[in-house]
Amino acid sequence: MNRLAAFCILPAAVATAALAQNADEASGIPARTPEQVWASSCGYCHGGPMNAPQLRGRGLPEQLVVFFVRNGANGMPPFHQSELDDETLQALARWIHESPAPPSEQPR
Amino acid sequence: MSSIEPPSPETLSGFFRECAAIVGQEWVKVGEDEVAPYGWVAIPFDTAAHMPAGAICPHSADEARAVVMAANRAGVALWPTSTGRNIGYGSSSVADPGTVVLDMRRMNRIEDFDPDLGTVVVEPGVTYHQLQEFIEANGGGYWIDFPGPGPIVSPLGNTLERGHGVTPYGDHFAHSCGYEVLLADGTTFRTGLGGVEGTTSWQSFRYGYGPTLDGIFTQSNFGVITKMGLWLMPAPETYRTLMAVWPEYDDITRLTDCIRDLRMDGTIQTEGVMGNAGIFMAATHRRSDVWDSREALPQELAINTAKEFGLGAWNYVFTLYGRADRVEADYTEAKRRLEAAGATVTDGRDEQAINELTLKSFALFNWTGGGGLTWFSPVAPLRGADMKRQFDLVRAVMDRHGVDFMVGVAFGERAALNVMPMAFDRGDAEWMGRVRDCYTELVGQVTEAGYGIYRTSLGWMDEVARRHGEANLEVNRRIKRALDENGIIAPGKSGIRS
Repeated sequence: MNRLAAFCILPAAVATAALAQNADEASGIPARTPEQVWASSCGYCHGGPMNAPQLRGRGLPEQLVVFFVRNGANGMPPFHQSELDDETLQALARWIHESPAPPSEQPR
Repeated sequence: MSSIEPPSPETLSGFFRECAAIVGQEWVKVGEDEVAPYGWVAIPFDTAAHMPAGAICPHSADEARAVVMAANRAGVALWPTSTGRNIGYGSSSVADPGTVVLDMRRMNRIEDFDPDLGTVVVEPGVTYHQLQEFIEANGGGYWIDFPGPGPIVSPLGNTLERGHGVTPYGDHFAHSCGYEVLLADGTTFRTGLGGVEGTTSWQSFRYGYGPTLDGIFTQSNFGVITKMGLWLMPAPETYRTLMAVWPEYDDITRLTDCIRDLRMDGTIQTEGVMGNAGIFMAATHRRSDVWDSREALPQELAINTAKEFGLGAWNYVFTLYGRADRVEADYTEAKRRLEAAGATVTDGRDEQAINELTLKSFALFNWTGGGGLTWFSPVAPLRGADMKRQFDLVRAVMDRHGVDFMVGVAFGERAALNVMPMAFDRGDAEWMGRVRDCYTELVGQVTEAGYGIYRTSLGWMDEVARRHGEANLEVNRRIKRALDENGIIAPGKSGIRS
């Protein structure tokens, strides 16, 4: 490990699609695909060399994902309905359940 | 210590019914399962100690105003949050029992972007991730400065806590300009030049006319901020990140004096961050693998391990910005002087310094596992002797309580914010108790030694306020009573109650 990798803990490089300012006017919550939710939050820790558990490619039960997102776990804060509605969360949980592990990730 | 009394169940029920008529029933969170996540904390206190009595989620400043006015009539306390991720300082939990969270995450509009002046207005629920995407979608040309948990937290929330990042715009309060303030009685006003009819300059001139009020609404509970102006950093022509490493603990004296001079004469334009060997250990190891003990991590072990990775007791990462000729000149000068003060200087990389959002700071949670983290954050004047004195004092207290000494130093020009994460396993009551006792003793010892504290967590706000002057606290109480007669906004925030 070189000195900077050791010190800085490089995060995942996360590509994101532009989605700013398209919040649903009734709820105030942006309409987002699972990939967009992943890119804007989960993927920072669960998608790269951070030591957060890898989630994709493990067939995680959807309800388990929903529970941890809503209630938090260890260092992960909860994500409330005021930022992630039930429908979007359910779609995210299904996407995580069904996603294969990316080539760079090995489930641990 | 007077405070608003917790409301009766009947009062609370009536308030929630009124809120349902304002924001809609689904945005009034009263069920135990719905409210419990708002009490999620990393700090060393049981969640029950700071659990909110409910949460209301307005969608607009008008809804927030109606909720605040209803709370004022009913005598129900509200705890305003942006994203509620003041992690390690209390998250979205509350100081006093019976307080209801005013969750403004749904208020997430970005307005009035000025591509010439690099200014923008954000609501509380906007995140740095959202803001960065907005800038890129609107032509780019500007960078954001963000704190450790940047992607998932709010520029408005972090600025009101007087948070810091690592670019030349790292002092977030200093780069905010113009607040829209909602007072407890429903009065709404704009600070700075926001009160001028048809104002052209709300986001470009901070001070306004007469007293400048922005500061009294930071780390404060005098009002609810529903909009904030923010200055954006022009994307630099080029940049260069460097790391200066000092091998030994006692180098803190000469390195402080050297960096201060480089900061004061402008060679280094940013605070950067200097991590000690303990921070390096926490970011790269699991504690149980290298020091499975109730005693504090020995600094010698941390420093020797750091040296194996080409690091040292002190590791200062900073970035130079600007035109290529300026960066080159600043590089030559900084390297010469840092090396003369005993450092080894190499090129480095820091995503946080170059507009690349990251959550790498969350690696701290891996050190102990168990989700426990709080920050002890004393200020030191930038004199080498003072930095060493403060760190010696803190280390002695931490060693006595078996708490690992970790520090990330933000170098201002004349003062350092010495942000010290205290990590622990929240499932281990004895460990959590030791961290609590350690923090309490540190508050006493550090202030008795003449140092102040930059920011603190729920659980210590009263004591820290008391240590910063009884007269100061009384002035804050008088302002509180003038602006929030019934004391309904965030009672206990920074130790202030009506």
